[in-house]
Amino acid sequence: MTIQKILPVTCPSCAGRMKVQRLHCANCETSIEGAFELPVLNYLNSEELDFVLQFVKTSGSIKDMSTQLGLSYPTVRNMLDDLITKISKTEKELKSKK
Amino acid sequence: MKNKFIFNPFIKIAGIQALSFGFLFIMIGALLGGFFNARFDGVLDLHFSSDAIQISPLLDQILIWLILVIIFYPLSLMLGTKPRFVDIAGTFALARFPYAIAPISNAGGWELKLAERLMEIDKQHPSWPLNAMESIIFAVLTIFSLVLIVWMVILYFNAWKTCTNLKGKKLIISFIVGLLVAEIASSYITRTFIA
Repeated sequence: MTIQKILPVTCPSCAGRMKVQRLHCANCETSIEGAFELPVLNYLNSEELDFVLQFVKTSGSIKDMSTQLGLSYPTVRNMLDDLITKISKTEKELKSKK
Repeated sequence: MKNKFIFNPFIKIAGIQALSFGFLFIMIGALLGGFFNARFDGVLDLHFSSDAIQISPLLDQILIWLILVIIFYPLSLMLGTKPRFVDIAGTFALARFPYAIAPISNAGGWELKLAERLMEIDKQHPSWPLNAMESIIFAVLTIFSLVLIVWMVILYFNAWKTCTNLKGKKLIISFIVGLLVAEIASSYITRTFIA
């Protein structure tokens, strides 16, 4: 049984945003250390990421997505609006901490 | 999940599909209204009248739907949301589903007969004019009507919520204001211009 590891994006101790400190190449065993920001999309949960992927796959057609998901047009539109709000908020927070 | 669909079908149905079903139910309501002497004289109102003209329920239904759309669509734009016109028109038409079946409560003319007898109570010497059986029938019919009105308000609310994606206080206050304005306008217009 393979365990699907989830990338933790918030600190379990203080709930602050996590950064990548170490990157490792599994091929040549090289490691780089530093303080790297996670991409904004990493702050989305798996459902939200699935939604983004599906949105890209349908060429951004809300109509096609509503057919695929079996949801009404305004429901999908609302899901997209909520996601845009969340991404904008995360981007602002990340910028303000720089 | 089924319960959720009964109270918020707009998660799955909106736009032209909701408009088609909504209009079908508006027509059914008008037909039953004509048959059972109902008047839809307000976005929340349903009254029975022995002198209602057969065409009145149809005119009521169409006028009420138009008033809902005319009030809630500009309100949504004023609040900075951009719903599709067809979603507002469709979801609000479908939200009137409970009133498509409501005229049935006057089957056999019971509700009208009992209500008229209650209206005739002598205020000087009040006494309950209905016998036990009639009281039970009247209570059942009243509860049935109340359930339908509450159901319809929930559907109106969810139509508004789904179309605008408003949240919190803004959602609740705008809905109450819109519904009050629609109720006042529709009561006045239907009672003044439709026989």
